[in-house]
Amino acid sequence: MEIKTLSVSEINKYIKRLLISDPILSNIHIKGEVSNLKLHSSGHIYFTLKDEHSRISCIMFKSNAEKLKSIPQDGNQVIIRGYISLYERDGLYQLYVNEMEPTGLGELYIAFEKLKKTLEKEGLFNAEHKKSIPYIPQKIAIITSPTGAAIKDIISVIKRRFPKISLQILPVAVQGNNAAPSIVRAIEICNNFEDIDAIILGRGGGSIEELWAFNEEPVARAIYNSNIPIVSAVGHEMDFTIADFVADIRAHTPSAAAEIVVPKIEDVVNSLQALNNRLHYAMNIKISEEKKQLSTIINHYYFKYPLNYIYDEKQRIDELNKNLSKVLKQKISDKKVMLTNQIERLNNLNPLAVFSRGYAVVRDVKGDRIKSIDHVSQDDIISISVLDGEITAMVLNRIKEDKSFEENGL
Amino acid sequence: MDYEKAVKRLQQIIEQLESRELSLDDSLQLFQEGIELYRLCNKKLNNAEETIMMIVEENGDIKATPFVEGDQK
Repeated sequence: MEIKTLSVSEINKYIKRLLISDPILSNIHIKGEVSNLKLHSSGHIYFTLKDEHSRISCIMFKSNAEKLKSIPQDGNQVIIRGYISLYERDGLYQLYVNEMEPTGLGELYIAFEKLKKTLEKEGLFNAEHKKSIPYIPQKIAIITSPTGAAIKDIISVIKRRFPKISLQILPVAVQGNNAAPSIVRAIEICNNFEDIDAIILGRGGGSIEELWAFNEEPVARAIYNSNIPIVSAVGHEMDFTIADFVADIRAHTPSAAAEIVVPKIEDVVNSLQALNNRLHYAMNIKISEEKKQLSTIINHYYFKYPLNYIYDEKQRIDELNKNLSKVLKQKISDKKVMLTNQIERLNNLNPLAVFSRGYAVVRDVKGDRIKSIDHVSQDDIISISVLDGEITAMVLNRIKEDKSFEENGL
Repeated sequence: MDYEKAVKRLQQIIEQLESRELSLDDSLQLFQEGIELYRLCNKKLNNAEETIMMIVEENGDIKATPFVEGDQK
């Protein structure tokens, strides 16, 4: 019996027929991870779909690819609806993709919302808890991947703005299963140092799966519990990760984080210099004011010619003295005049003047003045006072007369 | 005293001096304090070391090594 031999084309054709007629293989749903994705200029997409053990080649024609909301990236988990067939020319079977959808994404978003709500309720996002960064930090820790653009950007921005700073870099995994624990540990290590002023926690942009470590609860809590302020720079413009909500400050990009943490040294130096200038200026003004005041005093007439003060006063005294003498002399002469008048008046009243005119005072032996003839009797001894002495006499006779006496003059 | 506090105090001093309400003695004293603060701030600006270190934990030990850019691990 002759064994029928087939050609390569024939066998491939046979296999293809087998494949496409199989009911299961002609309409299947497969899930796996995208890798080696190439977008051909023709509009077709070629990639490999794989799981932990195996892989399969895939092709998505332009007509189907156009309907995609977004082109998947390597590493994305997807669900595919398509069919298995053989590419006859190469003898390779392929998965022909009709529809493709990211999977696991929905689950991730749900988990994200749930954790976000929980932590928000607990107060981890509260503004009051957020710490501020010192204006001039002296030591900054950077927790990020040691490779990649993020670390380079951060370092170059810091060096440009404020070179005199000590940077501590803690390399961590920023995606994958190790990421969250290594980030948590890095934050812990920073908090054990005493002199770190701020932490920049960041990575470059990526898909939600790639950024997932920054949505994990241990990382959120580590950020919240850190005593050192943390600036999160998970490079994702539109969406916030949970780390962004918990962090003390959120930056759009790693470079922006560096700008937030570190001031421009020119600005700082200039403003400090301006203060110094104001300080000196104010002091100089004060001193010249005082000098002016002093000069006004010193230039005062009496300061310049101090003896003149004495001379002026001397002159005053002399004048007063002169006045005093004049006044005194006048007073004395006035008094003299007065005195002369008084003496004259006194003289007029002087009883002795009366005496000089021949009048006498007559007294009895007792010394009482005799004013009437009735006061004496004949043979009484009387005394007569005249101007220059006393006469003792005896009454010889009494004769009454009517005389009218005037009081004045006696 | 940290940089911000020093600057704030310096501003306070300047405002007081500018108000011209102080005696000459008080002014001189404040001026002296201001100069000290300025020196302190200047020192802080120039003080920090300009180093970049990489901190790694190996077997429970924390080690610091100088960071070389392009140092891929």
